[in-house]
Parts: sequence; structure tokens; C-alpha cells
Amino acid sequence: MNRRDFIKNTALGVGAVTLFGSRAFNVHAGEILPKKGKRVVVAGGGFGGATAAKYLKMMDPKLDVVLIEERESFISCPVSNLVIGGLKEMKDITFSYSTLAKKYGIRILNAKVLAIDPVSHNVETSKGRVAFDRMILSPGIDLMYDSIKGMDARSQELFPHAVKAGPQTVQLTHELKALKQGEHMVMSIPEAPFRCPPGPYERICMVANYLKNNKKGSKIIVLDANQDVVSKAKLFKAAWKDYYEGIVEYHPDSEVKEIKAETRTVVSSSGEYVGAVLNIIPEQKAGSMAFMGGLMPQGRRWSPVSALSFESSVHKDVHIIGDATDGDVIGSMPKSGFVASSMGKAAAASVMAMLAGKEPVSPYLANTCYSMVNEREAIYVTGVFEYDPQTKKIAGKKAAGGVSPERSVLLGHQAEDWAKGIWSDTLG
Amino acid sequence: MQGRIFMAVIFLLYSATMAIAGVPGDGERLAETCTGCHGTKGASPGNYIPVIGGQHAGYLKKSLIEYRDGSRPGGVMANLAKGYSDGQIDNISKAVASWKWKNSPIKSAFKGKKLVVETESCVACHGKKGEGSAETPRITGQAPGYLKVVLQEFSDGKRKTPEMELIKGMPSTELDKLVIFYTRK
Repeated sequence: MNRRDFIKNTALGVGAVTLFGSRAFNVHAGEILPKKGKRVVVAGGGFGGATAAKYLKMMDPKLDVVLIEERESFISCPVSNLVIGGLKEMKDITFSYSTLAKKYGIRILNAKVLAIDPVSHNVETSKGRVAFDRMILSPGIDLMYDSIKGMDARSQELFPHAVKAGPQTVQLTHELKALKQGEHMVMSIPEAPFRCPPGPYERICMVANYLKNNKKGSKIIVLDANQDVVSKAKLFKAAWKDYYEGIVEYHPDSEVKEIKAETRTVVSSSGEYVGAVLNIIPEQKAGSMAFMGGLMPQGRRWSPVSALSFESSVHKDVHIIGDATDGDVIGSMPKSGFVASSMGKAAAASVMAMLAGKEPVSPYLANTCYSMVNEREAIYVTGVFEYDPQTKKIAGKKAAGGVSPERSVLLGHQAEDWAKGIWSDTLG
Repeated sequence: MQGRIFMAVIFLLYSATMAIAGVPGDGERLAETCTGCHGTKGASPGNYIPVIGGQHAGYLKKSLIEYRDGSRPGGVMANLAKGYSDGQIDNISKAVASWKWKNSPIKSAFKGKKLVVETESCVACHGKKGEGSAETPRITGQAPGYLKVVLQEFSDGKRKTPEMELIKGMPSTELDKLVIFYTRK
């Protein structure tokens, strides 16, 4: 981005910047990690942030890189559906950040980000203030319950979304185990875009597989706000027909309007359904960090950034990556862990260039995502994405985007190895 | 003298635009999209996704082109390879080949007494240690699951490379022995 573009873009964020002033940011309070030379602070240790931090250090081991993450362990969303289906355990998807610290010298700050000041280049965390030269934000997603009547704080606890792997994954797994034979689970899918397009549909397979083997007469009733299955549609529907006839009850174009907690009833545009287990996945927006420091323009829910450098369109020196980015601004890509990791590498390279006072470098991105349809077989979707200087957006290469011709056991093996590959590339 | 200074200045300006200290070039950045599945620097931790870091550039290039034109069967690679131009494939292959080879952490276990396996024909192309060269891949230390899939493709005639014709129709149990030989502990 050149200076003129920046000034133009900043005008858009002025209102928000002023708002920021209402929160006192004590830049004079002590810096908790005395800075050694140039520093990049990465906030959010998911696939995007952890990869960005690691690749920054791989490029320049002397660069001061601080990774701020609230959780002590990394819990992987990919493969979490297999935990829900009883095929894997939480320990199989839980990893330590310690290799990033020991092998690469990344300073891991286990703290919550409370405020970001892009102007003075400071982050306030639950453990104190950290200064930066550039920042990479990987905020992930947050849930939007406003559009569903009755989804108050208590209902949100009772009816897990489980789209952030962690306690809610455990909760849903336990609830499914406790289900009595013949009782049903009702699951809702929001209108796209949402995190991991094939995720809910893989979950349907994993839950149906579990019900088939353990709960005779039980069904999973799916209320999908979309017109059709959002990702790998033919392949998922073939698996439901071939393996889970009478177990998966799929209703497209069914938007959830209201939840009646007492009777465990889901009121949707296509009727009312009762489930002993309710898995309500609401609409989503960028994670809370994306709304700090005036980085989110009024009325938007995904972060506008430069498609070349991932630098915020509102504030310079802060880059935003992953699910939180706005596909309408940078070009449409799935909100997947693989894309987030790919963006982490691309943003890290541009951050390095920009720290040296140079122009950002072109991002090269890819997506590969497998879904299990039963214990052994998987399907996949792929994409290759490149920056187009003409449109200033990232565009998918048509020929490289597509799904597997069929499901297979070999793809099942590769799916398992895919997870090992990306976990090691992100954390190892 | 002035000419020389001028040339030196031009050279400095030129090199400044060529590469930024510490920032990987296009080939390396393209290749880094591979590592999401194949592991950092191509050191795959899995059994069915091959080690690619340090593999020979000629072979990598040949494979990517075969995936792209459909002559080599592939899962995700059959799609992904279609996203890259000849020049990009060349750059990716060189970058990946420049990484250091790391043997797969997955090793085959041999349970019998003595492994009887005929490898003379393998050695002719893949070298004494299965190290390969140019368009012939390194096979020693490769991921065993992947190696078996590839050998089975040749045996079933799904993939046609003249040099590998010699294992066409070879029974799966014999293929297993070859895999064990090149990937054992």
C-alpha cells in the first residue's frame, strides 16, 4: 500500500479511532517484555497466528517475536468432529506451544488481549503492556446470537456450537453419549460465510456414524439456513444416502428463528423440532480482537485488509489474517485452518519486507481440506489462490479448485496425515 | 572510472530490487504452500503423504507436470498442480529440492527372519542407497504408506513409466518387501 492509499483508507476509520479514545490506554505503564530491536507481536495462536510467528522466526531468528494467546494449549478444530463422533479423544487434538518457544525462540505470552492501540503501537494484555513495530492479528471468529430469539446466556451454555474446539467439543461429546436410544439431536447451520465450510457436514457424518453404532432409533435432524450443503455437497449427500439412511434428516433453507430452552424446541422457517441434544451454530463474525483499536469500520463484521499484505485497511502496521478477514474485500476464500496458515506465511513475508522499508511481496495461498464420512473414508476439497494486481484481490485458480471424484480409504489415510502435516507446520 | 561507478550503482540498485534480506523469493514462498500438508521444509510426518524436502528437482518437476496433465493418478495433487504455470512448477521444484532431506519418522518393521528381496533392478536407476538422481526419486527413507501406494499404481498399470514396467503385475506381498527394504528401521 502506498501512502496515498493509506491516507484514503484511514479516512474510513476515523470515527472508530476517535471512539478508541474513550478507553484509557496507559502507554506509560511498564512494558512487560523489554523490547530488543524490532518487534512483531502476533495476537491469537490459532493456525494463522502460530504459523505467522513461526515463519517470521524462520526468516529472521534475531527478530523479536511475541505470540500472545489466552489459552495454554492449542486445540485443533480440524479433527474435533472425530472427537464428537467418538473416534478420537481431546488429547489427540491438544498440543503445546512449547516447541515454538524452545526451537524458534518465540516469546509466548499466555494472556488475554484487552486493547490494541495501532497509533502508539501498543497492546494491553491481562498481564500488562507490550509494544510492537508491527502486529499480526489472528482473531478467529465470534458467535452472533442476536438473530435467534431465546438464545440468552443460559441457552448459549446449554446448547453448544462447538465450532471453537475446546470445552464445547467435550460438552457435545458427553451429551451425545448420554443420549437415550430413540432420542434425537438437532443441529443448525447458519447462512455462509462461517468457519470451515465443510465442518458442519463432516460433523453430521460423525454424529450419524456414532448414532448408527450406539443409539438405535436416534436421528440427527439438520436445519441448514443455506439452500444446499455449502461444501462438497454431492459427496456428503452420497455418504448420507449410502451409510446413514434414516439417521440423517436434512432440511435445507431452514433458518433458526427461536430456541425454547424448557422444551428443547428449535423453531425454524421449516417447522419446529425437538431434540434431546441441540447443537446450535449461529452466524459468525470476526473475533473480538478484530474490533479493538478502531480496526473494524462501523457496521462491518469481517476485517477489511489489503489483499497484498494483509495490512488493515484502517490502520497501518497492523496486519489481520485468517477467518476474520473480509472475503468481499480480499477475494473469496474458505475460512479454513489451512487458508489461515497459508495467510500466516504470506503476511509474515510481507511484514519482514515492510519492516525493512520495502514493498510487500505477493501472497501465494492454497487450501486443502479433508472430511471424514465414516471411520475410514474421506473426501477432499482443494484451492490455489494468487494475488491479481489488476483487481487488487486474491483470486482462485479455477482449474485447481475442486473436490475428490469419490470417497476412499486412501483419502482417509491422507486425511489423518494431513492433520499431522499442518499441526507440525504450525507448531512443530 | 565514472562508467564503473555508474555500473556499480546500477548493480546495487538492481540487487536491492532482487531480494529483500530475509524475505523468501517467489519460488520459496510458492513452495511454502506445500508444507501445510507435507510438513515444514517438506519433512512430512505422515505415512501416506511423502517427504518432499530434498527430493531431486528434476523428479519433483516431472511429478508436478504429470499430476497436472493427469498422467499420474493423484488425490489432492491432481487438482493442486493445475494451479501452477511451467515457470512456477520449475521454481517450486528448485525450492523444495534445496531443503534438507529428512527420513520419514515412520519406519517399516520387518517381522520375518531374513528379508529376501531382489533390488538389483532398483539399484540400476535409484542408486546403491536408493538415493536417486535427476528425474529418478530418492526412495530410501520415504514414507512407507506412500511408497506402497506408488508401487501398487505401477503394478496395477495405473501409472505408466517405462522404467517401472518391470514391476507390472507384481503381487502386493512382493511390493511390501520392497517397501520394507527401503523404509525399514
